[in-house]
Amino acid sequence: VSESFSRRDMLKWMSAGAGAATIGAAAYMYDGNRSPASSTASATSGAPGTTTPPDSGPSNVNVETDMARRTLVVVELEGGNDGQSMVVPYGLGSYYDARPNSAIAENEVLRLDDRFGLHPQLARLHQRGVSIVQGVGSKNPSGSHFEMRARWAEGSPDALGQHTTGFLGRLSDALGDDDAVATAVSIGDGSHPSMLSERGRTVTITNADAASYLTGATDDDILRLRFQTAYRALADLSFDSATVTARHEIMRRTVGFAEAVGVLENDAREGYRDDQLGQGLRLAAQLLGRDVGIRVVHVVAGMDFDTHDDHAGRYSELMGSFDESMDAFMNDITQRGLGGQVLVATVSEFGRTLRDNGSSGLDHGVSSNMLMLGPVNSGLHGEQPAMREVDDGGLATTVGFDDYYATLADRWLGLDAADIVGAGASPLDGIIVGG
Amino acid sequence: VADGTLVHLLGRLTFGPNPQQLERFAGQDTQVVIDTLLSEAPLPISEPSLGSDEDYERVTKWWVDILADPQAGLHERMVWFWHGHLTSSLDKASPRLMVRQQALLREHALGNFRTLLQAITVDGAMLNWLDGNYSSPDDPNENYARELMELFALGLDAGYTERDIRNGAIALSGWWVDDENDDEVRFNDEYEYPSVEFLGATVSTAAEVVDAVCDHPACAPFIAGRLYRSFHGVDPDDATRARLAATFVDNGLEIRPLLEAVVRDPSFLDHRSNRTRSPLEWYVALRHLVQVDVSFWALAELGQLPFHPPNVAGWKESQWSSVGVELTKARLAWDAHWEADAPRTDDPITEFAERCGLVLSEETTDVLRGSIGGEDDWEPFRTVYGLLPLCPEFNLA
Repeated sequence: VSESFSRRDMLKWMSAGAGAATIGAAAYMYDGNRSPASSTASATSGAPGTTTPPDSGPSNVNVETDMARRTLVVVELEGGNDGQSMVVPYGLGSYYDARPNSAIAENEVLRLDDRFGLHPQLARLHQRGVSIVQGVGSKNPSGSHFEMRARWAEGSPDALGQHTTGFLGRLSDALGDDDAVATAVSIGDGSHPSMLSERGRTVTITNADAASYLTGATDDDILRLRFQTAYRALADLSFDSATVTARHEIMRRTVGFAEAVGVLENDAREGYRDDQLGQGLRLAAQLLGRDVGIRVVHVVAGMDFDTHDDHAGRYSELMGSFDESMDAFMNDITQRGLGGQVLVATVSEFGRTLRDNGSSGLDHGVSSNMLMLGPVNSGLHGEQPAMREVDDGGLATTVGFDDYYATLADRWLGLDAADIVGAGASPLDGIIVGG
Repeated sequence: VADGTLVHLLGRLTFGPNPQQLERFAGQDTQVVIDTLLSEAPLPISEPSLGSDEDYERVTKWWVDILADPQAGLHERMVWFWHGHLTSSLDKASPRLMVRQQALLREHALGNFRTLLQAITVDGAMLNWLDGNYSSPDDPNENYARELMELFALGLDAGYTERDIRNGAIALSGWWVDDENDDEVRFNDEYEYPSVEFLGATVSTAAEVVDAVCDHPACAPFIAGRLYRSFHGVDPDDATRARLAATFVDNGLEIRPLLEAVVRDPSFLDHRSNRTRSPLEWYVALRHLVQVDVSFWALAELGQLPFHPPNVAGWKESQWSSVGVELTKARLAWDAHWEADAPRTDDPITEFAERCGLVLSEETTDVLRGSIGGEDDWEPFRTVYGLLPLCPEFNLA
């Protein structure tokens, strides 16, 4: 990756939907700023294999029963997250046969049951209790990052073109009322294709600064103050023309969003990693804490899950960061009194191959494991695919991701899955507390 | 004060207005301006050099700079129209293939629709984008067949059937992109291509499929309607659509006579300021206002990066105006104004408005005037640069 095409540009490009702009590994190239996995929890967890597995069952948060107050946070792990490293099938001997270089030793796995356990770097989440949906993906898979990212964004597992909007955009269309300043917010550069909507109640913001251009200037910043005051004055003008009126309406709603959300630095909490995922989750908690009608937040992790080489080492770092920031997020929302009303769900375009490749890495696979946090019944859901290679080396899909999406839409948000996802999608039972 | 009619013509028939155009056409008769814009030669284009790991960035910047060229005229506007209509994307096609498709659109932008559709059906970028690549009569891919009719040429529910899609896909199959040999498009003649029923005709080749589509009675009204909407900002009424379609058919699906009929329709002069400026139009106008090369990445943030439509249906007007886009515009306008030059006159509002052909309302002008600082302030005019791109007048086309 050339210097002129910086990491930031790349992310911008990626999140604009450009997908694997440079195909495969290069598009997900890490910039080298990997900090060593230094999470204290994993350091203190000793021999992780001895950790007591959490009981399968409801997590200890009170689930929000009013569905109109529930919110969803979707965390996108771009590049293709290896489900078998996140949830290790340590009790299946074929796992060790297939991965002589990247398998995780049985005594390091954080046990969930006598066959599966979490990656050793996920100690905090193991302690907290997570819900895993196994075997999620497409039954007509493609090995292309861009194709599969686009399908996940659109909500069409088997082929693009089933919808003209994105999955999160349709959630927003169905959830929001006309007065809401925004129903769905994506954190990342560019406009994510999943946020495409009919009613336009989706907002993409880059960082906590987004609203600060239109709100928050003080007397000692006279230029910005004049700019913001004049913008409000423009927004408040009214005219006879329908098109001009519509324009002013957008300006007024933008001022409303900026004021409702405010300058976000003020109430940021600690505990997050200083990387894109950590900053995105921190901002997500701040947005949800505003109680301004935001029901869906999309966080692009900005990590590199495309581990074609050195899988074991890189994946440990990824999970260390994920564990630390996800745990910080759950603490953050609990402190904000939102614990029972926020559901976190991961997405990733595909899993990885069953077998190690020649570079101690894993290539593009098919299904993967998705992780959910919040008011969920912890433990394993879905169905682990057979340890057998399908479609150029991946593991088969046992749960179409439309069913996974349907679970979020129907069981969590109370929406009609057929409308949001498609007629063939059926929600999974038993994952969400009470659902 | 800017001439509203001239501004309308330049805004719809080019990516203007820009200062050079406003000076050039000042005081000219409306019909003369239309005649001139309709007959101007295409911009001379030199192709970008490819072959590095910067290709994706390079081809996008290459085209954005063409679109923002003050000389870009109706031909560029039509290339852009066809890109948004017969979509393909860098998502699935390489920079080399997208540049090749661009040359194709450039060649046929004002040529013959049938020829254009024939060419793009077996274009390498399109074969990748809509999955025709490596399809065979035994394993046909229906994607292109469906979108060819639904989005490119006939419209949803135009009377074709699922069977037409399946059979069309068989006849369209066999084309592939030889990525080991300069991405040349090749046809596999080792397969047997059966004759199939398609839209009431019997076809066995891609060319016959495209001919059957072009001969379908829904084709001319559909294309005429799309072109009309692009220039008028609204859909034509039924009578206008039928009249334009007849013109199109009578001229053998030549695009230029249809375009002339669309532009010379008397309602064209009335259909002004009736839609939101597209992100691309807004971005180009911002560049002309501040006279700074604002990074093309702004278009990604605004949701309209050339060579990158969000899906096969192209960009949707409903996404051009939203809180997210507005927040982005506020940031881009505020950030861009720092580099802009100081005004040459002591009336920056009028000077800047004239530069981008804005006819500002009294109310807007009052607010802008109120934003200008006192004499002790450093460059008190700067807020005007930041605010003008956010005014309603700047955001309508």
